[in-house]
Amino acid sequence: MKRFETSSIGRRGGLSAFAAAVLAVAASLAPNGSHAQETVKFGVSLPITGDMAEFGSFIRNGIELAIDQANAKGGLDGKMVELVIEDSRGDPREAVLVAERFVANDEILLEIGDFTSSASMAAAPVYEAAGMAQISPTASHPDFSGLGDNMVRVMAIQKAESQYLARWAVQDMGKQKIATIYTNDDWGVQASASFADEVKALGADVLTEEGITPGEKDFAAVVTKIKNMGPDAVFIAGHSAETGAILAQSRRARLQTQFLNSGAPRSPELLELAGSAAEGIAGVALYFPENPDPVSKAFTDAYVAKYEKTPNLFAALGYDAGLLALQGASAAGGKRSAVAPAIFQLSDFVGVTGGFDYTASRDPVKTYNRTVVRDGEWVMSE
Amino acid sequence: MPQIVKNALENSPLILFLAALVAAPFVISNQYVLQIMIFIGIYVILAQSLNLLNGYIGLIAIGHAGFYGIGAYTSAMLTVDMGAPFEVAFLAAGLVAGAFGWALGRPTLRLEGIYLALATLGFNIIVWLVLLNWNGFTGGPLGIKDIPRPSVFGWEVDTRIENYFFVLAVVAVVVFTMARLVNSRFGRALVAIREDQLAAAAMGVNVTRYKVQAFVISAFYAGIAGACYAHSVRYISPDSFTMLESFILLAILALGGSGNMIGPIVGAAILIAIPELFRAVSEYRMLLYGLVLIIVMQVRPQGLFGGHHYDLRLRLFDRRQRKAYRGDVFLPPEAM
Repeated sequence: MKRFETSSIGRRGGLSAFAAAVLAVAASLAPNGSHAQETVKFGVSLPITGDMAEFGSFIRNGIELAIDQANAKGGLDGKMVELVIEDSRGDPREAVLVAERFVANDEILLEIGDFTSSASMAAAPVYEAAGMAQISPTASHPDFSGLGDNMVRVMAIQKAESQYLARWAVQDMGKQKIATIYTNDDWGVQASASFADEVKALGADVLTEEGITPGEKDFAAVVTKIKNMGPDAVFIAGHSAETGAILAQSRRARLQTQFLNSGAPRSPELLELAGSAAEGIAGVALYFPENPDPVSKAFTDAYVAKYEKTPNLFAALGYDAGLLALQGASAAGGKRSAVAPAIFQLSDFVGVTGGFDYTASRDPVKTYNRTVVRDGEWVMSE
Repeated sequence: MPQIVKNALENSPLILFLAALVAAPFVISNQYVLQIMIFIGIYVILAQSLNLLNGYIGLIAIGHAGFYGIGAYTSAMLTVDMGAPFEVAFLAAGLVAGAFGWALGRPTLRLEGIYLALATLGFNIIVWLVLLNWNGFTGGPLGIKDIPRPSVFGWEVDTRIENYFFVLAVVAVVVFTMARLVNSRFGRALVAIREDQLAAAAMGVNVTRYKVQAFVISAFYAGIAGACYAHSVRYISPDSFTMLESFILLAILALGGSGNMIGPIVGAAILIAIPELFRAVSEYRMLLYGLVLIIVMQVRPQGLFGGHHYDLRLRLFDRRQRKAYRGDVFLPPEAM
């Protein structure tokens, strides 16, 4: 009984202390007043920690490169551009909080991010309500750009790439019996479906469409099933890890056919994982480091000079997102709600991953470079 | 001193705390902070729900995000695909999750300890895989977009502040009903089972029936939390209902302390706020998150509020029952 009374007093104090703590925390989170604007701030929401940190760091490097170059040339109409980078871990819930944080901060003009479609789409209503441009370098969900008037897509939509690959396989390579394997995420589903539709439209057969769970390692069942169907081409919509494993396991199962890939463009990791099994695989690339195109080459050289490593597609998309943000911000004259409309007025945006006319559509379609693996290296295909 | 004044004084911390929560959105104009508090509210519901199992009846359930996901998808699909009214969808979220709780609980609740833990973990993975792969039904990895905002009997919950009050109201109802539940005969039976299953059975407590009932109730509340999330964020995808979410809930109970009403609330507030408070150190913030957990586990292995029975001071509502548990079953475990 005594014991209970003691704890009763302690409890009362504990509860008040907790209430006080909650208010203190809330107060410390509130914005600490705005000071004079000599800078323009861009919010960046990306996975900096967690499973997707690797992708996030490439995109972040690309964005920082674009902004640094602009600042070196005198900034945005005389003002220096500053990035406010926040970690979302690619988690929809955290992306919403980051969005609220940016929107609540009057100094932030626009936002670049997030990496995954689900994080971008969960945060989209927040940006839309605030009239802040949300420029996602990588969101591939077909509905992302239609969620509101402020959602800007940088990556070419997957549909165009899948259709391009399907035409390459059926019309140029003459393949007639094609199977697909795709990672079961929003991107993979689209990639496979668009590919299969185009193959059917061209009069060839789709033997099967096999989904694999992201992060899975053993694909023996899928490979065996496809082998028994006797395809003359297999389309893999998967990133380096899955595609590499599928190629290596196909070699072991003696499945010999023409492989095509989307999702691991010119990936060196794929070559490491699959070894000689990668020989002959075909894919298209929006960006590749050896591209002699002047815009692309200037980016590659600047990136290598700054970070001392070779950029990839994600870095290039980050850079393009940075360029797009700068052009939008410049035309918007510091007004949040004017950024996205300004971007949709750009008829001749030129980026590392190709040019695009945003007045025609909000879903970029870009030109592709054909690549294949020959003697253990990605080379341009004729 | 008149009894009513005495009661009011005794309950003053709780009343003050509630008043602070109601006043908060008028003091804090920052939408970001409000959104954090909304998420804390949702996790308070989830933690209370899991607390009924892990804290009160002593079942080790580690797949609670499964019920959370079922609730979110039920409510989202009913409103988006079938145009059901929000009130119906919201309730259905709880009922459907509860039904799954029954379907899972019936065959598995005869299992003990680690075997039950594995069964619930497996359930979480199955739910996630179904949400991810059944493209035609759940939208698969594309998720569900344009989920309507809550609208409760004519109250259109359009703004963030209204959303805050909506979630606060749901949390209040959940916490209140949960407090009443665990203070009832039912709650004492759960604790009796936790302390000694055989003794409870010998006293005439139908162990399996109580376990299944607790499981269904817990799943119901988790489903309600799912509906709150779906209609607050307005876009859901399977990403939000992975095992990681289940582990966050376990961490909340471990940190706050289970088996009482205050622990889950404090745990949810701390664990949801911490990653946001540590934003200044960007790359290292999840490291600090882990560090806080480790320190608490070192200093207070039973959790911040673990080991005692904190009851939210609901004396005002039922003095007789309170007296009953003060005397016997609800002594802290180490006193037994």
